[in-house]
Amino acid sequence: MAIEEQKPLLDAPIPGMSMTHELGARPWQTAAQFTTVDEAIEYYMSRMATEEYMEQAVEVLEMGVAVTDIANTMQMAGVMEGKHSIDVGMLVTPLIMEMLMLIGDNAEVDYDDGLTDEKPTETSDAKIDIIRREMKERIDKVEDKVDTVDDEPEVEETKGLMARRV
Amino acid sequence: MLNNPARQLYMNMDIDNLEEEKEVTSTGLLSPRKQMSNISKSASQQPAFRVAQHMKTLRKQRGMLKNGD
Repeated sequence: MAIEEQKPLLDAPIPGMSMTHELGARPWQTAAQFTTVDEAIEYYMSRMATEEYMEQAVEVLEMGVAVTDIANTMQMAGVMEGKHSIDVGMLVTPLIMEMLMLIGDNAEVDYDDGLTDEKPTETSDAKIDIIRREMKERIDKVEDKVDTVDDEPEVEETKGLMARRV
Repeated sequence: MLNNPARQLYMNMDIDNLEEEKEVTSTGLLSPRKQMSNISKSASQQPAFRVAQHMKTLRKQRGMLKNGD
C-alpha cells in the first residue's frame, strides 16, 4: 500500500472562470501563429540554440528540475502565448526534451530526465522503518518530558502583599 | 489525473526502430506513377515522423558527446 499525498480539495478553477473575458480576448483563443509542426520546431530550436537560453536551462537542470517538467512548461507557455495549438505542442514536446537533454549532456550536468516512475506503487519497507523509528523517538521524548515534569517539586507561589520577594 | 504527458509522449517515440523510407525508382516509360493517395499516406509526411527524425539527429549528437567523439 502506498502512502498517498493529500491534495488540496479546492485547488481547481472556479466555475465560470474561463468566461471572465470576452471570447477571443486571450491569445490561446485566437488563431495560432505557427500552424504546422515544422514551424513550431523552427521556433523552439532557434530559441533553444541561443547562448542565453542554454545558460538558463543548465541552471534549471542543475537545480534538479526534471526535463519532462521543463518541456511541458515550455509547450504550455507556447499554447498560452498563442504560438501554436495544443496538439502541435504535444507533438513537439519530445523534441524539446531531447534538446534539453543535449544541452544538459553538453554542459555535463547530472540532470533528472523525469522518465523514471515518479511514485513507487508500494511504500518501501525501509521508508516504513524510518517513519516508525521517528515516531518512536518522538514518543520517547514526550514520555521523558512527562517524567521530568512529575519529578520536579512543586513550589507554591506566594501572592500576598507581604510575601517575600525572590 | 495526468498533469504532465511529456513522459508518455517521449516514451511513445520509437526512434530506434524508425525506418527510413526508401524510394523505389521506376525507369520504364510505362511504369506506374505515384498516386496522390499514396503520397499522403506515406510515413514521412506524418508530423510525428518528422519530429522523430529530428529527435534521432539530436540523439545521435548526444551519443557522440557521451562517447567522446
